[in-house]
Amino acid sequence: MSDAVRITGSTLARGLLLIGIQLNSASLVFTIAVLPVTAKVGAKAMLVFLFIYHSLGSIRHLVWDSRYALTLKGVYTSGYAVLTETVLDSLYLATI
Amino acid sequence: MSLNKAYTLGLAAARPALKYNLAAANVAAARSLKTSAAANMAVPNESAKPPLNKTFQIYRWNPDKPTEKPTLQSYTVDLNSCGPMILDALLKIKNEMDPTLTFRRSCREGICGSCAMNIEGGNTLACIAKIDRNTSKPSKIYPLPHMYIVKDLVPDLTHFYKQYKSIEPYLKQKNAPTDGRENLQTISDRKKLDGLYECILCACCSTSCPSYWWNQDEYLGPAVLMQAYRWMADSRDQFGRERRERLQNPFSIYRCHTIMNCAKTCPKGLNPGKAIAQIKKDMAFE
Repeated sequence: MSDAVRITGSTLARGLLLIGIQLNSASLVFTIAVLPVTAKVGAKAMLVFLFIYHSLGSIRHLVWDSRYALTLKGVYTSGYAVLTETVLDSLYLATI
Repeated sequence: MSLNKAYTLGLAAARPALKYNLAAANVAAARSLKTSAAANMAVPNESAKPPLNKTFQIYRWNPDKPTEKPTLQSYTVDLNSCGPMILDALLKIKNEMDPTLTFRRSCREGICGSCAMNIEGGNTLACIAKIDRNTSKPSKIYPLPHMYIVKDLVPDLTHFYKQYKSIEPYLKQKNAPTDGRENLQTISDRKKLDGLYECILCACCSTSCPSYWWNQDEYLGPAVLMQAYRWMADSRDQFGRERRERLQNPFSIYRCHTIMNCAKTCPKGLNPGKAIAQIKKDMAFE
């Protein structure tokens, strides 16, 4: 799980960097806005899922650095909490 | 003169051959290669239960033939005539089937740390790992992951021991104890060492850590770091600050990314990850 936090971080960084370089042309923005709704929501859902997973996973790391939840039980509980929270938050944010 | 003759000729004329009057069968047994200890041991009642055959797939590699790749060799053991732990099965295989199978073992009770190996994907001690009685799946036994292998299931722990030596795992003081004789310690200070001193240095945790796999040379690993903390946390030790100073580099401790495989796999139930987090916090606030 912790490994996936690292992977989502690098994927997001690289992906958003590439998109960010290209997004200064108004025509590109116009091209994306015209796409069907399902494609937009789908793309947003993927992006949001990675982002939220990375954010919540990092909070979990900060919790560990403050020496909370460092037992086996704590690791599993916080892990499941991050997973369920990611699913819920990304479902909500993808539909905005 | 005649008695001497009897001795030299090996005749049992004047004295009985054996001190105790044993039955003929036992005499025959004693004269063969069986020792009396083995002959007096209990015989398992083989006919009572049908054989419960379990397959073990064990990693084999022979340094005498180094060009041959390591292989998984299968052995079948009747669990009804074998002890409950993996070490019992390994010893049964070595005694009865394949004497060339090589592994470390000593105490058979989970306190010496010799028999640490990877059983069914997790690092534990073979002497306290129960055999899975489900005979439909083979049991996979590998040596500790990402370690150089001396032979079969025996890892080369030289570097691990060197790393342990490097943290100076002994009491270091600047001032002699106040009453000149005993290093006094309160009960609450002694409680801080619970969960740290029980480490048997079996290397299960360090070899389960992916960070230790990739940076074995420089990263000290959870086992060694937990012992480093054990000495920092000891109220009788006065070199805590210097011990932390030694870890102030990117590798010795900061390769730990809180993966927590160490706590998951410790066969003694200890938590090295927590100890390492404690060291990091102490180093940050010093």
